[in-house]
Amino acid sequence: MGYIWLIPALPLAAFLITILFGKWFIKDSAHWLPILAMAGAFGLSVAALIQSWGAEEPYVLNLWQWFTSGDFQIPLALQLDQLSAVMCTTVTGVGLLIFIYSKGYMHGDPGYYRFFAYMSLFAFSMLMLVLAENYLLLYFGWEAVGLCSYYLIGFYYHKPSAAAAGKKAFLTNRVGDFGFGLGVMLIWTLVGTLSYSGVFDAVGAGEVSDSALVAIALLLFVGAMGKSAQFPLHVWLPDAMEGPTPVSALIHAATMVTAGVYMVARSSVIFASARPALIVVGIIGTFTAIYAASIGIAQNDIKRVLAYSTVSQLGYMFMALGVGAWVAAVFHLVTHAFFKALLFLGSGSVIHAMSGEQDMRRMGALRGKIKTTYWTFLMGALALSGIFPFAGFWSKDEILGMQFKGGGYIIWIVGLIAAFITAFYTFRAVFMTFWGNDRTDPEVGKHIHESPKSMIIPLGILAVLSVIAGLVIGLPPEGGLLHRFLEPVFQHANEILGVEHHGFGALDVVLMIVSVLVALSGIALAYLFYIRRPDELPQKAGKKAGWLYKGIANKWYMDEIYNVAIITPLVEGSRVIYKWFDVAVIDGLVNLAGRIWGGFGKMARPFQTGRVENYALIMFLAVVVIVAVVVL
Amino acid sequence: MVNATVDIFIQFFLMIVLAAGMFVAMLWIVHRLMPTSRNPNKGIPYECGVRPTGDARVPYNVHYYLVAVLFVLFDLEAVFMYPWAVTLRTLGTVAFVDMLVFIAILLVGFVYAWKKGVLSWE
Amino acid sequence: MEWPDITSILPEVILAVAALLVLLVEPFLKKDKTAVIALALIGLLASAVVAVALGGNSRAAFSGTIVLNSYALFFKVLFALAAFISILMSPRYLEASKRHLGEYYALILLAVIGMDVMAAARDFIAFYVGLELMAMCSYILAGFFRYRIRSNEAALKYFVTGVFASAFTLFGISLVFGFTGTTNYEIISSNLGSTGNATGVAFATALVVAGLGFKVSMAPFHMWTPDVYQGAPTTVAAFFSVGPKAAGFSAILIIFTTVFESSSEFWSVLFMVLSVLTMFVGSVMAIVQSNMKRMLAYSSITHVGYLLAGLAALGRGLDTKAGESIILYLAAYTVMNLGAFGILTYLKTQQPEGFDYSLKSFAGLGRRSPWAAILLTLFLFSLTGIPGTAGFIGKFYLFTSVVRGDLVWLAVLGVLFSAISAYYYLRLMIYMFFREPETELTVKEPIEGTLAAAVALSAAGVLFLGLFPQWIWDHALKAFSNLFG
Repeated sequence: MGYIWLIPALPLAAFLITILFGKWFIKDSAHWLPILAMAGAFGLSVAALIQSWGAEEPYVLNLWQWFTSGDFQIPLALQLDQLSAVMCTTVTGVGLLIFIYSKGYMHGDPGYYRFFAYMSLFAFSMLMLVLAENYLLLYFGWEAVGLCSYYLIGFYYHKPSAAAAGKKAFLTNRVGDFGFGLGVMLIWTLVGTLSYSGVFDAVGAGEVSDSALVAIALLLFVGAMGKSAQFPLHVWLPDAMEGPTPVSALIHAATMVTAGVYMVARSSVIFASARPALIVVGIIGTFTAIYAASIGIAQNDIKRVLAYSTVSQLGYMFMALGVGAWVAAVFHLVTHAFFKALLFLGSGSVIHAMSGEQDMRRMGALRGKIKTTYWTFLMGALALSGIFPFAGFWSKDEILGMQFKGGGYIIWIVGLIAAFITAFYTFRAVFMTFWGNDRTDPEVGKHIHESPKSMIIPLGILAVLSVIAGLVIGLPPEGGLLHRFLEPVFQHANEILGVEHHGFGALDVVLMIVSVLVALSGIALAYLFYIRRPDELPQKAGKKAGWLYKGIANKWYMDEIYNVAIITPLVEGSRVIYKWFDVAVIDGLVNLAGRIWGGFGKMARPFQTGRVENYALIMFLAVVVIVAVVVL
Repeated sequence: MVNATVDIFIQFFLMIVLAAGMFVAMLWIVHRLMPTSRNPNKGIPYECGVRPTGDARVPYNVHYYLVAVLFVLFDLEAVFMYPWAVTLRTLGTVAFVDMLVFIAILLVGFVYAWKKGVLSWE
Repeated sequence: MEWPDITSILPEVILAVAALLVLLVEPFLKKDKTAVIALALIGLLASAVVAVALGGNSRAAFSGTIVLNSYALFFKVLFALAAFISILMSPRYLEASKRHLGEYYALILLAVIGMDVMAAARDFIAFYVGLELMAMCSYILAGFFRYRIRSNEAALKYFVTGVFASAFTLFGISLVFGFTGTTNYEIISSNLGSTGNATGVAFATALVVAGLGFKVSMAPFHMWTPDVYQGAPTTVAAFFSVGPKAAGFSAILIIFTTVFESSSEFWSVLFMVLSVLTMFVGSVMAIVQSNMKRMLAYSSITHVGYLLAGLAALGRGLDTKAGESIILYLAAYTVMNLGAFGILTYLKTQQPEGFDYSLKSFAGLGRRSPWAAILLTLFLFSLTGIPGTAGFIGKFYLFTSVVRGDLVWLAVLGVLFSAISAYYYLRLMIYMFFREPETELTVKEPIEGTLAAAVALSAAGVLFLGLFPQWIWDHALKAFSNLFG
């Protein structure tokens, strides 16, 4: 399997060539190379996936030792095990489809080559992240995907909001990365190595004290919270939708944001040995799941709805990790990548058709006009809502089932409520966009057209995947293909946790029926609100449905609460910090340092007279001084 | 050993002092002994009465310097050759080859100077 | 008289032949100087190849005054590389400056011979001849644009101060000769310790430090550097900033580890003081410069300060690997500084009149000529010491060795001054990418021809050393394994 270095190398080569020659030589055909590179990487990933089947030990490829100085060495090594193979295949597969889609979506953009270059760089960084053999390389990939994300959010840099969103993402991630960095350093000081196998062996052998493990796990999790947009570090993700839609699909839905989940799953041995940290992971995940879902109701921008749903679904994954359901988390990660990419690309297709309009209040009745987009979007929506037998159903149900059977009834109920809300806002989006009255601007309405083939084909493939992925890799629950495949990776962590396998029984069927019913009722409620009584709801529903409808009509006051509780204090606080601390103290110190040096420079300048006799004199005096010191 | 060195230095120093003293003393004696008559006409360049026209510092043609430098170079080449020629018989072939290399290098310089037009007056 | 062992100076002989051929061919050429450029490049390449081929068996020749071993080999290849890159970047620049003469290439080759001899000499006389050969060529090169006042000024200043410094060196050498009665390093090093005249030895040490310190531009013997860099042709400044500097260090390393071994406690302290002074003067003055050639001059002084910290560690007599780190740093510094100067050269050839090396004239470069901006960014990153580049590796090894020499405070100071250096390097980047130009300067063409090759070579070197440092480190270790060969 020595070829695995090619998986990240291909996108890297595509990036280098595109960024260097894109502006002058490649120009409008900039998409070919990245697409080919992704296709190649995808092919290799599939090969690696097949080859890694059943392997007991991860395959490690030592590429090169950067440099050694005493004990300190920096190796560049890749590791392929079942988990990284699954991640690689997902990243390259979804990435390939999104690259093809971008050919149509970004067509005619002045930054066409730049877009593909950065996307390739992102693919490289993400693949390095999942193929890393040690925490240092993981950290490198981690920072690199953050950087690409920052570039791509601010892709339309002339738009101030895009630039601001990029900055916000970058800064929020810094907080998380800081924790992650500390965690990695702590591992280095305590274990003395950063390679996965070394660290996990040391942890398994009990070389690290429990409290230290909890500290490491929590610090790593802070990093995961930043990257995977978990409360309270989720604030950047909705704003990140300022980037082009394929970026939102690839980076802010399917791949990069799942890096946190991957990292926790990768460090399963550490987390399993640090129970308190694991509980924190579960609680944060659960809270984020319902919290973000509730915000999703109040959004009118189609991409923002999806953004909050992404945050919420990531919460589900952490919920699963919190009880040691590693495979369930990865399973949901994979299916989520498919259907969320589909939904984003579908929304992109809608935006494309609507000449850039993103507000759902100015859409409606589009299903007749852009049929393919509608049908594929619907598939994605069903999967996200968790309707049998779509992909999202299997993975989400598995997570909820594990919670119930593990005794976490409260989490289970919260998860169910979140699932209900998810179904509601998903179909609220579907109904507002594709059903009901036509509220489009007549000027825009004239130009509505179905997207080009390069956009439709990826939608179709992703729709098929959203329908069948769960059936193929997830059946039967807790014992499906994916479970058997990933077993060697998590064996160690499961032994530490003492997780037992539950058979598939009547209880599972009952739980499944419950969750489908919950999802269906969510959809029904959305139908009631947005199809039956779309216009007169604010007035009538207040009388008919009482507090419930009133709450929804007022967006659960969520925006307000959110604003008052987080944004305002954050902004105000940061303003205060900026004014008093940053400007006065930090800038003051920096400027002071600069001024001191500048002052020294001014003092030293008179010596540099430009007169050669002075130079000689100074040389002579210097020798005299040295000699004088020697002799005296 | 150290004293011997110091002795040498003292002798050397004395010689320098004596030489400098002689020089200064002679100038001083001449200055005292010569008859002097001061009048303005003594100050002009030509005491015979011709009026000077223009500056005494006339710029020389730069070629003059080039030729002078070349002369010094080839002059020194000849100087090197004397001791070489005297001891050639004892030194043998090696010294012969050495001198050939030395002359070849100078020859390259000569060709260079010639082609650059250093030797042609206009 | 016996036949001398000519093989040990074969690389220099090749260079000399190439230089003479250049002089011989030059007068016959009209405008097209391709032939002499090719001759010079082939000569450099051949000398490096021959040096590598001969490097396997170390040998001493000319009664032990010259050696050919892995130490000399390392520097011979390094000097050849520096001259090679400098020559590659020159033709277009000289043409744009309307002063494209073949003598330029011959002078560079002759200077390289001088440097080679400095690194290979194991005798003060041979060393001094090499030093002067290099210096003479440097003086002429500095004044190569003889119709420009600044170039003349640079040459004159360089010459006057250089002669002054040479006098110091000679005085120091003569003192050593007086103490030991020989000029051979090896014999001196065994005799000098037993002279019992510690003050005299320290006196000689200080004088040699002053003379060589001038060549490597260590404070307070650095005053000529900015004026000469600014006045000399840019390509010459590029060569000066790396070649004579590396040659100076090659001689310092060998002289101070052998000849002045007995006074190592003294010169270790001396270099500590000079290191701090040099880093301080370099970075302080670099900050206030608005001319980028001057800024690079002062920044090169700062880099010398780092190297002196390494020398201070070398004098501690511990297993610091300081010497190895210094020559690794020299290699890294050579490629990155040449690259930075290469970009300046490119910009000057584009606008012989409009571009004045001022900070302002870099504004908007990122848009005008993104290639140049990106490459310059790479070189500036390397000069700052950002991981992944040669500069980082150099600093890492150098400061590690300083720490190993129990001079943690000096290493901390070094890192501190590197942090300050980020200010004046990154400021240039800010101008390139985030400032709008005041006047619209246009670029005629992308980097092309031999200049492109020079910059590409430097960039490849920066990345190669930055990413695969083990190779150069192994060679550095080998270079120090046998000094007398």
